[in-house]
Amino acid sequence: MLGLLAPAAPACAGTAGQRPAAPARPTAVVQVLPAAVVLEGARAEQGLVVSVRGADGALRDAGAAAAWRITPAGVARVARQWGRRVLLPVSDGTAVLEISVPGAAPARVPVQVRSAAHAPPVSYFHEVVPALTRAGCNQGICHGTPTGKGGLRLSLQGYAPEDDYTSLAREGGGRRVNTSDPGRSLLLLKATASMPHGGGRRLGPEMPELEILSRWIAEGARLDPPATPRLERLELLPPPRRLELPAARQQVVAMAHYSGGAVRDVTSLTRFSTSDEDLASISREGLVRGTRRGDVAVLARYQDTLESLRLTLWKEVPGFRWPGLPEHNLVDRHVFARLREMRIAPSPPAGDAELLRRASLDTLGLLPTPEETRAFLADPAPDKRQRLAARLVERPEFAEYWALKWADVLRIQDETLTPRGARTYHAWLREALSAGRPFDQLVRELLTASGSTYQVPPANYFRALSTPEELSEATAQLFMGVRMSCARCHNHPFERWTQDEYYALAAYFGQVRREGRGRGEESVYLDPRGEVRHLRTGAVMRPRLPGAGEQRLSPDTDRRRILAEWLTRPDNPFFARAVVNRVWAHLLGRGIVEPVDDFRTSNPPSNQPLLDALAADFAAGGFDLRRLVRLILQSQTYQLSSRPVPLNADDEVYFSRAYPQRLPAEPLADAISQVLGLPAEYDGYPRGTRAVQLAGTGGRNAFLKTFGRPDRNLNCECEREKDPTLFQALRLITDRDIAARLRAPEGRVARLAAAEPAAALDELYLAALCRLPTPRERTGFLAYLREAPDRRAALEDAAWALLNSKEFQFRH
Amino acid sequence: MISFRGNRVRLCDGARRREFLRVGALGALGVGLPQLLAAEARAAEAARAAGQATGRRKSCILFFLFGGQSQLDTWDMKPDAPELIRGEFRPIATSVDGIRICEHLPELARRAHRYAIIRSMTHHVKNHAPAGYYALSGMAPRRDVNNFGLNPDDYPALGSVCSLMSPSTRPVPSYVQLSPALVGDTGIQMPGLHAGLLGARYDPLKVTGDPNEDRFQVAELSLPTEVDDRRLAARRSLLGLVEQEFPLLRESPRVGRLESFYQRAFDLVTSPEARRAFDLSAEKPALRERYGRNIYAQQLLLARRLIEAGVRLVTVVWGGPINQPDDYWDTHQGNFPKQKEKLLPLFDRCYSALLDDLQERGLLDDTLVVAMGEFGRTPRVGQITANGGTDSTGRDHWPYCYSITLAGAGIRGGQVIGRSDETTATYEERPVTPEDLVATIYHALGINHHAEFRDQLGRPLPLVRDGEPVRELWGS
Repeated sequence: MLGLLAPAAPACAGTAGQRPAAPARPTAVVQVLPAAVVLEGARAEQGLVVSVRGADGALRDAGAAAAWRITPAGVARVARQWGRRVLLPVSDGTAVLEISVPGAAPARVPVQVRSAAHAPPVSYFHEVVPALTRAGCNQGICHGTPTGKGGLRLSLQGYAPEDDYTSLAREGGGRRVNTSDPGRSLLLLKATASMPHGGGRRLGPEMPELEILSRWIAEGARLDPPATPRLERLELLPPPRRLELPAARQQVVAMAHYSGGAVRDVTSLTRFSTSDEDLASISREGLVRGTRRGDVAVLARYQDTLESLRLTLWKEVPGFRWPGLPEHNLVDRHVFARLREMRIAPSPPAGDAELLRRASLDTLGLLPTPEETRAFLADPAPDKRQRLAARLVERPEFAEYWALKWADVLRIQDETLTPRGARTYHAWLREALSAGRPFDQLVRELLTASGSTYQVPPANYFRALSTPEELSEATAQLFMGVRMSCARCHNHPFERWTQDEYYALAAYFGQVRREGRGRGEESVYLDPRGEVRHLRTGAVMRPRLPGAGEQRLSPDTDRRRILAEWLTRPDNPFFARAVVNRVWAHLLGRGIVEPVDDFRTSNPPSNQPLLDALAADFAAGGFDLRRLVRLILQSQTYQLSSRPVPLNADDEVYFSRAYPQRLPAEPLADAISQVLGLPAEYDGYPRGTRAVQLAGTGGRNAFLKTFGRPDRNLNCECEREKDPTLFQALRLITDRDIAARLRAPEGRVARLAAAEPAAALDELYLAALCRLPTPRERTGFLAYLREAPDRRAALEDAAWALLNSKEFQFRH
Repeated sequence: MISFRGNRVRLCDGARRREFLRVGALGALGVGLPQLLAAEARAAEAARAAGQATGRRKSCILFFLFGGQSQLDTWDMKPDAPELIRGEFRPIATSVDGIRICEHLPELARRAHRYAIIRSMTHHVKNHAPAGYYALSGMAPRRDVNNFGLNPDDYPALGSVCSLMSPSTRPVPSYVQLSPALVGDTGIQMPGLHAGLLGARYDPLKVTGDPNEDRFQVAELSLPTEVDDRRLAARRSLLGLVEQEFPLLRESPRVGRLESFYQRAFDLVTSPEARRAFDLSAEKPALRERYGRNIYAQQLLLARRLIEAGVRLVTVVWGGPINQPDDYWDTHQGNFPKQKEKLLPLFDRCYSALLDDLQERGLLDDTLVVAMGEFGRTPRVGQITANGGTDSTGRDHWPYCYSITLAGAGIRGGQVIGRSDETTATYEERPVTPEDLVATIYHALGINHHAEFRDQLGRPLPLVRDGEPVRELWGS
């Protein structure tokens, strides 16, 4: 499902026998897709993708400027139909279509017309259902909901066409389709708004859908005969390419390949969209218009198939120059290559203080102490940044912080696991990370655990998630980066995952059972008779790995082991990519695929070679998390400044600079404690426990909640609120607990109040911002501190100002 | 506010209405704060364009009568039914010919021309939490049990949707919930009031203090005692020194966003306007008396102040003890004395005061008021449907047919919509489901109920699953 279709061989200018063009002839040549046209039956049509290959070798869409000439006449004709130019059959025979574009050598396309006199009946599966999808009738907000609308219920985007046939042709008292008087069919009257229709006018005579539906009804509204060919694949023309802004137009043609070898242009029956309307839009007829620089996928839905086509929108930037930044490792090689290609400059490297703060917060969830900051700034060694990275990943806090990250998405919480279960599970996770357990091994332990949830900590995986469906959804999302939940009830609307595949994956967890042992303890075991049934068909599902065939496993096989071993193989296409993408997103503030757990062909990565290289390195290095973090930390890319430069100001996906992030709830709470020199209190945990160390949700705490600590009810990082909110600002301004710790006699502020104001100020700045005050800040703060009647209260105000500064609250 | 994650709302004709995704795009432009704020305003405008119909911006006060108000003892009396059904109360005439309501609602009877009554609300959910969820979000619950809990995949509350689609432009939150600290005597977690699928940022500002108390204040909005205005000003100027040295404040939209929230937060804490919004002591004592000196009446008054200050939707949850643990609408025992002596007089007084107050201030045309419970109560006294504790003096839960009232926002008062049968066991005409009601409220607020939003996983979901506004409310 990750691969793209191979392009059809293009028809190029000239023929085999011709000599290369003389110098006076144009160097640009016309290229046409498809390379040859076959029109089968009276209702066939064929649109073309016409491009010109310029002197620079790049292909550009030239459809609007192209002239079509067909010889001899009488075989096929050129016409405008359904909003685009197409070739239509006239009579059986062969002809040549010449496509010319001013200034380029023309191309010739062989044309063959067959069965021109025969108009085949409308196919329910191949035409009617796609027409309903294209018209939007069966989308989620219209009739494609489980309850339907206005009494008519259709399957979402036609995933269950047989059921839809019943709804259309059998229910509704025969009024929906009226085969004796097609014009009085409710389906047509409503869709054309000839009768009141909640969805308004969806169809008109200018749309092919209306003709398809009318014809089908007039022909008796029949299901296809049993021997009708199946759709095998959908092909989009052209293959992936780069579009140059500002013009950035591209015609797309959708070709359906059926069993038996027939191929047909189904562009006018295909529903198009793009993955990002901000970057590019696409018309109903398949014409893409790009507006902004970036990567976008064109999505085409025809029947139950979703195909995508990746396009890169690109523009030349006058005066673009690549600064001579040294590459540190493979990360920079791929990031910089992409930046150069996209004409985006990287920001200069960050300063030492900025980098130290960023790296400490990202790897440990802690601010560097003033002593650490001073030592790092004073270190003259040229390789101190690389050594810093190596040092940080070996600190004990590293495992604590990464355990927090995984605890979120593994849903380690007191309510479902009991406080004891949550602590046991969390401790296991932390210790595994601390011991440097290879990640593949850790995941195999998780996925195959059985036994007491108190004695076998990873068995809690099967307690946090209780059904085979939840387990397979979570496993796919966590370790494959795939959100399958849509496919529980219907085929995934944005992806190729089908409902069948969903239940075939769930079948690996079909044997998992739990029983209580009292006092909140539970035991996870396997029931060899356990099976999973398909929601819609009720069929018992055999386990099937994505992209593989059904597996026949003996009942005493632990199916989970089969899945876990497949998943964690070094060459598994999902696992390493999914994990490195999460780690990358944590360190760089954005995934190479974003959202981090939503890998889809329709959601292109911003840098595929980078993702592949990181994944390969992670697998080759034995799935070592520390090694991966160190690699990224040591890259020039990670160490870039967060300040934009003119040539990267509009980039937020290619990692041309560090993207500032608000501190997550726990590191923020801990950083505040560090600055104040006093810990916060967490219910049920000993004094001095840091927020990052909290196991389950036992430390449920209003402050952490306000800053986005999730309740851990989802397997999704998205549950952790990352965006700033009004309530966060209010909280930091008014928080009573911070106020009390600002004033506490044993806190840092009270301690510094005795010191000389300038020294006290330096210390506060170093503690909070890892830097000394600027001259302007020093003047302003010292004036306030020296004039204040109450020195200590004034210093509280200074500390309050630092805690409320954006520089403090962001990692940048 | 508009999400950085981009598109959260879509319509049937989808793609063309994606303007307001552009806040996400703004991040890419690296624009400064003023542009960002201006763009946010534009994006909000576009979001409204996507979701909203036309007309002036409307606000809403949702007066939620937790426990379930008895339709037979209030809006839909059946004086000719057997005693065990009609109960102890008698109907009286109102300001509108042909409409009769309970004798213990005399003030509301005099104002019957101001509000519309729907007597054919109907659904099938019998427990408080799931029924409340249904009534408040328009989403049918999957399970009909009381320990329903709050779930991250709950449908968003009406106010959360308002925060998304019609956010306040003034220095106040878009959605405020006023409720007792514990809803119900068992402290049921009331779903349907939180943002659920939309994510925590669309949760309400929850105020659980008692505004009837002199010392009432909202903790999040008030400073610690040792920080007076002068000291806060000093702190702000120190903060300004630090911010001045942080160029990302201007260069990073994300940082700029937090900064813009800081400006609003300071406004909330310091601006006389925002402070006044929460300060009931600014109201004339006579008006406070007019509403009644109890938590719910004063919350209703506070709701009016908040709407005046720019809040889009205020939910007042009458759902906990006033003086006794059972002073709310869940009258399983002592149905008649409880209503006669406490609930109905208090309700009559504060609800009528609110209608008068809104009218006098010219706010009623732009403010929708809805007073409703999660269901009604059994036709027959002593009949048990959900709660075995119901005795021969009580009425149990009855979702199949019950009454609610709506006023303001252009709704034509003095009309009755729908009809129940002779005992209110079921509707006879014009059933109105919670889906329809939620669609009606969106419609009144100018939010297109056909819109689609995206949850945190990016799944497209309809605002209302299958409901249509009760358009007769606005008909003549």
